[in-house]
Amino acid sequence: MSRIATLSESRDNCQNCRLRTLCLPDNLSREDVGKLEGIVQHRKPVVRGTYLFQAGQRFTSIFAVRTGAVKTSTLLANGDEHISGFHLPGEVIGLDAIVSRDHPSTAIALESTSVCEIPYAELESLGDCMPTLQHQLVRIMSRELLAEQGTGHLLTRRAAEQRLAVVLLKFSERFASRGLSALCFRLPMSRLDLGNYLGLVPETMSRTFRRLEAQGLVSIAGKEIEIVDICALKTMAFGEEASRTVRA
Amino acid sequence: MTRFLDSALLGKHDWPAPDYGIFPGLNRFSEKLTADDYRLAAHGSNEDPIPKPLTAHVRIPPQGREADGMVRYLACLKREIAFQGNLFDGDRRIERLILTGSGVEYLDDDQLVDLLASLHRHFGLKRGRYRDFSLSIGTDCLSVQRLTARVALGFNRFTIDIQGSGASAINRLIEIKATDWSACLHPPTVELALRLPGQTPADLSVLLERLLCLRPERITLYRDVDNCSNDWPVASGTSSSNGQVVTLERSATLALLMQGVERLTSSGYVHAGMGHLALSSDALIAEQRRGRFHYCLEGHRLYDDADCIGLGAGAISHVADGYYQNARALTDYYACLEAGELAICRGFELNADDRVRHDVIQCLMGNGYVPYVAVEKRHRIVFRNYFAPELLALLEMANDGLVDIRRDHIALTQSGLLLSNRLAMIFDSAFNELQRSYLQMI
Repeated sequence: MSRIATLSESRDNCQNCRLRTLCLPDNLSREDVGKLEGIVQHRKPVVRGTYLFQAGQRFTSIFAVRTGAVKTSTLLANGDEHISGFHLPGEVIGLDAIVSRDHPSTAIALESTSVCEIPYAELESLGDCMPTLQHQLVRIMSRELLAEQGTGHLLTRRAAEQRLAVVLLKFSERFASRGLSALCFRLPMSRLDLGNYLGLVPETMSRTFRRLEAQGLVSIAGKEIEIVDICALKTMAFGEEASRTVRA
Repeated sequence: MTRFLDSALLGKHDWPAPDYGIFPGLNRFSEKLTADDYRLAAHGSNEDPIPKPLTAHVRIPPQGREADGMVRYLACLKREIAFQGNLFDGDRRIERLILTGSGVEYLDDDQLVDLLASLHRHFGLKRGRYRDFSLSIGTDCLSVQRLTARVALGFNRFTIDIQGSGASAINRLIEIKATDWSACLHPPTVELALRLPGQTPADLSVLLERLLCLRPERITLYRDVDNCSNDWPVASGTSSSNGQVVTLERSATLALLMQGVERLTSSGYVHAGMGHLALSSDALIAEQRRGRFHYCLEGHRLYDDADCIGLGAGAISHVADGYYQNARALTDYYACLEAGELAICRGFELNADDRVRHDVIQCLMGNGYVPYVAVEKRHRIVFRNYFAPELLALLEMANDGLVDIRRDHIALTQSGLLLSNRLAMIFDSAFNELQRSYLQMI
């Protein structure tokens, strides 16, 4: 039986979302997605610099990034901001708060960003009657955990070029998983933020980018990165065991 | 040996067109843009993985007779330098410095040292062989001591505007070059601007012979009296509209331009378009570095895509995708800076369409060559669809031999280079009433 879909339905819902395979609705039946849809709140886009949640704020919902980009950070003892990650569309943030009552980290939009807010209590009760959803949530948590492991890996690299090469390859994979180009993409964060994440000051960041460019590995125009020689970049990132694939 | 088309054919297309130092023109600047917008743009420009290098244009207009005028102006200028320096990251140094304005000649050595020190303190001046610090010199100030003093301060390019006959200035320069600079490891380069209106062909050829003895690194032949290298363009550079008189003048200056370009290109100069000529050694260096000539506010060629900071009354900054102009009247300029605020009073921020056109116009004015693939990649368009009406309009000029339209590029011919701004005007949306079809984005 055909049904006329209203515009609001088709624009903002999980069933038709391009990112559904990366997000919660993956593997759910149509009916189940409908129930999930019932608890998801699609937020209007927020401007750059908006706080999605702040450290210390009571935890109520997790967020799925729909468009734009978000950085998560924690405040160190000396007052410095330490950026723990960047989150692109299809990724879920706020998972680190599930174990405590309050958010341990802060999430800030890097550019005009829209998110889907999913109240956790309702998600949990929905998960109780939908084992597929529960399983999907656990898979997403595991994915994020794997990504975290990669970060620790990053900072033990000695050379700045290796750190940058690894992070560029990670971004490349993440863009590719959304169906975008793995070789040409735009970095949504400033060199200051990227440097903070990698443990490098902005000047070193630029010098490292220049070195990669001079070696013919990448080509940079503004914030647009083009990976010119992906094999060489992988070799630089991982040494001669370039056969090891990077997991997002 | 360059062969130009006959002047009648060229003359047919020789209509006044803006000098595309800035695109869009000053007439599109809006007062709604303020210092806050500029600050936002400046902070945004720091964020790139490899931030663009900085160029500083310092403008010193004539102050009138009072000594205090210059002192006050320099004090405000230094305040502006301090405010602006705070906006840009510390590792972004000034790689190119241009000091212009008729008031520059009246700066004494101490004031100049002070100004440079201020720039170095707040921005950092990049010393080294590839710096480009230029200073405009008046023809009556061509003394050895003066020039040597300037060279010692770090200036390595002198811009001289030859007014009137100018033969004496050229002779003076030949002397100086022969005696003092021949021993220099890196002698300063000389850039001469010559005004064509009012010259006769005979006069011009004499002048050109003298010029060839001097062999300055760059020569600019200006057809417009208004378009002075020492002052900012007042309007978009269109000549006055006076019908018959103008046509005669225009064809006369066009003939002189052709004469000049022909003579100079046959003696080792390369014509970059619109009467700008450079020694082939100079042009080669530029091509090697980035492969792009840029056409900027004063018609000079920038080698790299840089963020330009305009300092001084009426100066124009070009940061990220916007132009921002300081207050032009001295009283307004002083009022802003003495109150602790930047003197930006108007500007224009380019949208996506403006950016594509800006790119194409830059390519035409700078290189006389527009490669479709590069533009398509930068702006995600399909060139032949996006610019279908413009390409159609260019056909007439192509049939007359001014431009070559190919499958993957547009190239100006030797004759087209004489009128590159007229050809660039085709792509200026403010001037054409061509039918917009559709925007194709990929």
